[in-house]
Amino acid sequence: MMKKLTQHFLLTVGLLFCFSCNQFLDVNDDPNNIKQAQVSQMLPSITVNIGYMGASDLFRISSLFMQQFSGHGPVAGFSANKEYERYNINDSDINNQWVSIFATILSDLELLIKQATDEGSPHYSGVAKILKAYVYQVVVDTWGDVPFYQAVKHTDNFYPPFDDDEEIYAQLIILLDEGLAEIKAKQSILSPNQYSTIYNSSSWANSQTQWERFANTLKLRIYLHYSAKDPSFAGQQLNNLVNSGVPFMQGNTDNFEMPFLNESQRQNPLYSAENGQFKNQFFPNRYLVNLMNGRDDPRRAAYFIPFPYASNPATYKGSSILEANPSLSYSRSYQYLYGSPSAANPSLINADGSLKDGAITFGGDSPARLMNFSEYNFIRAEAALRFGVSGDAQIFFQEGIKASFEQAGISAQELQTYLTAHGTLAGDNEEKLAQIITEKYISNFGVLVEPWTDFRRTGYPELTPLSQPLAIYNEIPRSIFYAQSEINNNPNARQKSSLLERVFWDVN
Amino acid sequence: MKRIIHLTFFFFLTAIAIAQERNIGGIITSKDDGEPLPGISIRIAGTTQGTTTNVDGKFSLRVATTSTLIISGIGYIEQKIAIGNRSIINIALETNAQNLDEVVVTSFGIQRDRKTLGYGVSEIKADQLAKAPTTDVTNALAGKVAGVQVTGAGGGFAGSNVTIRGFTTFTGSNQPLYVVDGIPLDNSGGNNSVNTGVVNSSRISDINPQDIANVSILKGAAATVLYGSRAASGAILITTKRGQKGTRNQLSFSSNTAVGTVSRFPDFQNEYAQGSNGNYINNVSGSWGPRIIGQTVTNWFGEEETLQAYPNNIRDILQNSISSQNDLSFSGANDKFDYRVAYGFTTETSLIPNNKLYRNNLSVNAGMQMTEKFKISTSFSISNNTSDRTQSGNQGANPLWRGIYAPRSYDLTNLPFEDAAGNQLWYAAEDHPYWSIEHVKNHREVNRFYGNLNLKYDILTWLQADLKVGADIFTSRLKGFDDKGIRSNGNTSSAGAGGLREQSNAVRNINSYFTLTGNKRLNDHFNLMATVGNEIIVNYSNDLEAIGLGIVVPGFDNLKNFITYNPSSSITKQRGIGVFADVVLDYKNFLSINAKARNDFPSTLLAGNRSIFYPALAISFVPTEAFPSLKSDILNTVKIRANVGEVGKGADPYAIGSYYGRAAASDGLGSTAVNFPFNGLAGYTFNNSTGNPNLTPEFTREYELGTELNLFNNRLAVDASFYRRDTRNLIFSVPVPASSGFTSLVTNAGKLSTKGIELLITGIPIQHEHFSWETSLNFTKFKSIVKELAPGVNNISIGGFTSPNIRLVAGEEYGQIWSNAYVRDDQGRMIIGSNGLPQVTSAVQKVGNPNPKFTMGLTNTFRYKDFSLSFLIDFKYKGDQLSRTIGDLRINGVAAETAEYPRFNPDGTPNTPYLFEGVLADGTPNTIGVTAQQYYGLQGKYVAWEGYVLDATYLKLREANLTYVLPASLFNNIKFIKGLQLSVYGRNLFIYAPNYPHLDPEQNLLGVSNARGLEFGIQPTSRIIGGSLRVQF
Repeated sequence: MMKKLTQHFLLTVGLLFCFSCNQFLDVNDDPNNIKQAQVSQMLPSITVNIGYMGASDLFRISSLFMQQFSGHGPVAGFSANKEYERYNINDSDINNQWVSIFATILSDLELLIKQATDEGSPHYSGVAKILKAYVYQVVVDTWGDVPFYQAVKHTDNFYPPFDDDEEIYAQLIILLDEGLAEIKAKQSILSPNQYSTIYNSSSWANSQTQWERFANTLKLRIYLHYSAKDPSFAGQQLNNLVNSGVPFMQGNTDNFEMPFLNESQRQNPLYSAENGQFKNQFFPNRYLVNLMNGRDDPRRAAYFIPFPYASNPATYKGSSILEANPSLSYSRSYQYLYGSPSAANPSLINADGSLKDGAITFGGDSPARLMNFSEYNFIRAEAALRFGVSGDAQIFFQEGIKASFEQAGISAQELQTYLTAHGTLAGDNEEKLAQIITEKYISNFGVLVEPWTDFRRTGYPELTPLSQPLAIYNEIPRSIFYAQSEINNNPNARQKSSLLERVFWDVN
Repeated sequence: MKRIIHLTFFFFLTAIAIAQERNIGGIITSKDDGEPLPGISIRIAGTTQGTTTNVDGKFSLRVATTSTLIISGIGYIEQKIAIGNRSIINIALETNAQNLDEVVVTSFGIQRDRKTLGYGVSEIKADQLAKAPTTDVTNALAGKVAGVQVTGAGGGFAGSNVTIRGFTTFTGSNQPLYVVDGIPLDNSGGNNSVNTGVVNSSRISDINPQDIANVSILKGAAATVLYGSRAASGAILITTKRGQKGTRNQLSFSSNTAVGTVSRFPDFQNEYAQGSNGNYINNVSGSWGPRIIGQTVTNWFGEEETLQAYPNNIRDILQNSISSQNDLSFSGANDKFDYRVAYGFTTETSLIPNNKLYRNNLSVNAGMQMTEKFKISTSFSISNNTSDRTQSGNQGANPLWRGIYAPRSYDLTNLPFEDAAGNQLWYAAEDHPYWSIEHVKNHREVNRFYGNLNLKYDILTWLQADLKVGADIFTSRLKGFDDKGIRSNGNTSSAGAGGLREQSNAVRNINSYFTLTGNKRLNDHFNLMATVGNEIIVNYSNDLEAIGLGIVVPGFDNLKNFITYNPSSSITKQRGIGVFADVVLDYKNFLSINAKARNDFPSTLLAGNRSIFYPALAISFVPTEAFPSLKSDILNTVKIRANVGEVGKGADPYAIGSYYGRAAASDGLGSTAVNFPFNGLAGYTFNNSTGNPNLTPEFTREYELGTELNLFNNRLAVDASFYRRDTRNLIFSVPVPASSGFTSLVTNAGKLSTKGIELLITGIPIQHEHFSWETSLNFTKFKSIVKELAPGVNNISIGGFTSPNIRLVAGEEYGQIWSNAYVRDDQGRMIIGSNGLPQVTSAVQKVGNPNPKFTMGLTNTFRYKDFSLSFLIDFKYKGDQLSRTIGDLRINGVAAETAEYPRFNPDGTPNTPYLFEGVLADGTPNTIGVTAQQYYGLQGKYVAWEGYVLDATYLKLREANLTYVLPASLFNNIKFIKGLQLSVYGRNLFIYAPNYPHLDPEQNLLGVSNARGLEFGIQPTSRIIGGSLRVQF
């Protein structure tokens, strides 16, 4: 009663003081952000973030597993890369990547698809669907079951359920088909053209061709992933797709990649990480380096910096967490990952041939490599070898190596030498498959997740997993934890018991 | 008409008085020491006439025979003397010890007799602040107030995190509202970024502590309700100094100068060289190399050198810090007017070179009784605050982040750190300490005006109108420069390219209060005081920032010298209207009931949800007055107080909408970023945080029960409070799964509950004519429990890294440390691997609780004649801290304990004296010995972040002061000096931290935020010794 009276009294006083209170108080519209963005502003954010995903957290994790990189260097203290290398990854380590994928990339893709469809711009929605299929393919290969049907519906569903990974995979083909149909639409009010940082072009016809080739090649990749679980399905689908006569990637210009710039905070994050706070914590791994050393692989000149620097002929040495002492005396990544190099500053080269900080600087203008033309060839080689898909495995195998050499800027002459020594498939089918996947592993240096997928699918290359007690497991992880933020906040999420839980196609 | 009668009556009375005047005179002395007291005000009751005592304590006055004299002076108990027939009146004044008769300042400067207050208020007087002066007033609060926890950020010029009675909100600010002379002062800016930039001061640091007369701390909801939403976490009311009545043209000067030396610094080993496993390696971090026996090695520069240890190689980076405060004031007052004009100049340097603070404060307080009924007064301050700071936090440009474990055999002091072109010469991946001190800069300049204009009008004898309009306007300009070749984040995360962050913020906060206060004696038994009022808040800020990246000419820190830019700007507007009422009903002199209510209308909620009503009720009862028979020599006064109050709170600006913001990409290590525009393209992304138009206010309700006791002839006083504070319907960003497309939804959810005790015991164990001992103990204990977060949400991170971080967990105490942990069996024993080393969990869990069990402050003051000695001991019991630095000191083999045992056996094989306590996989006790390098390594003790957690219990001799007041008789011959006081003082003189080695346990990576308990990259703290001089002319 007393409370009520007081309240009424206060309200009356309040109203007397100010007739136009609401007008006075209506200052709560954020002047710093916009309520609606245009499709041409959303797509650049999406493609840049996809490129960034291709060269940051998830890339580091999967390529450390695959012994392409090592976190072991001169830093004795804590480094995340050192922990990932020995399979020590917390659920909270995954948060940033998961959030970036769902709440940025997929969230914006969902809004873009809807907005472009409403506005009559199928070329935009088609590109968005193809990108969505690519992102989900990576996501399923990494985590397995994830939210799909009800995912990124924003306020319509805050707690999406997790969908079966195999079912999602089937949906990706549908998404790609829809995307392909939409990019081929005759009428589209707007077309991405230069508003995409991937397949950027002043003419839609050019970009459209590249998107189409990529979408079809991505289908090949997806079908191939069924190889262990359901080889007959994989073979049948690969056959159908190839026989349908649709266009695939035709050269390195069709590579699905996101170019970064030689500008501060627009660089490839692999380089800016190396050049910033986390220097000397991400080295080429000795397994990969030794594999290439064993083949005298000329691509090392593009991939790595020699160690010792002045060695002649150039020699290369990789690092590993198995090394006993912290050390800087290893080869470093080179222009293939870091972009345009400077000349070496001789005064910054240590006596043992390792490099001091700044001995060579880079532009950081290398692309995030998401799917290469060389991979297309290796897919065809494997398809021909295992599933009788039209084409010659041997030819595709060599074409794959050739594409990779070209991509690395290696001369035709060196290619010939290499092909002569290593370009012939030999032995039984299993041995040939080992050859194909091992070459694919070398070519896919810098490619997100796919080398790990090939390993889980085929068991190649034949690297030796770390073991306990140094490592957390005695084998290479088969998936990674769900982000802790998802587990904490989504009642439909269930955390994996370990990193040894497998995605649906991983049955070997 | 009525007025005219009043005036006539007034003149009539005056006329009578003049008719019967005569001269009187006398001398006023101090009861304590018998010394004459200058500057004491002698007023004739009921008039505006009066005088003050001269330097000899003498006065003379013409008065009417019937007059009563009111003799008062600050610090002395006021006396009323009826003149009668006397013509010589000599009075000895008693000093005013803190007691129940004291007047305290509550909301809106309403002065209340402490006896009638139904809630707890703590006070700090100017002299308590001045004992061991600090430049930032928040640091001066440590250990002084019951119910208040003060957590220093460590080092530099950082302010402290101040928490009053626990936590009231999840993700919003838990810092109190600072109110200066009745006007709220913006206290933003104390948050530290984890991986970039410097330790920042919050903006309360613009105040000159020397201008403060009194700090009054309103703790509970019942005390703060009139200040509305912004005081939901308590209010700190600062009253600035005014001219003291009875002084005229008083000039005073004070000067403090102090020198600081490093208070605690790691104990290093000086036996083993750079390297690993006994091998000398010149380009790695870690001092696990060979025993230093004068062997010759090739160093990183490629030169032959004789291996030796450099015991001071790191300490040499540090210098002595100097702080100096000089203040000059000119003041005076009589019954008509008062004025005080003060200028203060403060300068401070830190232990790390290139940290400098300069502050100029010009403050004016003036008041004028325009007519008998109408008074105008103002107080305002203009400050100019510039600071230069070196980098801090978890990044390589923090000079000591990794510098602290530079190899023991590396001659950091003498070897060059850069070549002629400015390139760093340093084996490690991070910045060379000296290079970053020299080349990474952070300069901030704040120009600020804050002040108020106050009009008071006595409408009737018992009714007063009061209008106060205040403004707090400042601009803050930041220039953060990273020179070419920077290896770490610095100010701009330029990844080596060099960068410049130019930031300009303008803040304009206008507040106006209008109150009507009636104070009327209803009859012999009842007195009623009632206040109604309103508040209007108009806050505006605009921020403009440009980051230039890719420096062209090294060393040239101008924006035009860069190649790419990230500009941004924002404008924030926030308004509010509040109406409030406060009614106090006193019954006789022992019962007092106080009802209050406020209704807020914040701009940040939708029109329909805007009205926030909240009431409070407080009761004070003094049994010793109600039943005088209770009084005795032992029990002098007992007061019991009880209250219940509520405070409501609106949202932050713009939390009700969902927006698209400028896109960017970044990774989980916080190491790199891609920003837009990208290659000429704009990028927008739908924000991860969704607004919520349905937000309703958040409420905190508090119950408090307290007592105040005066015992043993007022020689012992006890003030105790028990309280419970419940916050419900909290407005916070509830995390939602990213798979929804958002990561958080601002909503009303959750419950937070705090229970606490605070206790203040003051005593005067010894009180003689020449010697006295006063002691005061304050005790603070509270526990804030997160009762519930949001449906389906069990924990949220409020700061830190992906791991470790600080979390709120439903059912647990506020702000727990979470990270990975050691693998343990069901019985809690560590499971040890076949290599003798512990293992790490893949899931994260709670590994520490940064909340202390309690904190305590003990002040003792001894006076002997003109000397006084006082010291403050500050004790914090429990409270965990995750110390990355202590871990790093060991991981890198530089801490003394890593060489506790010989690392190698006589035959050169590794010594394995360490054994992890635990069981092997088969359940048998571990017997596998490991080396020091393994034990203290990343796969040993530090395999899990849990290993970095330490108990940060400490006991500090926080302040000490010895003061000598020169006897007034000394100045008899020196006419122009009236008083002189000399002191020596110290801060942080001694630290005892039994479980926290090497460093000062008061460190907080996240500064003034809700998250405590992480230390990543130390800021060394100083032990300060200084002297001060105060002169009155």
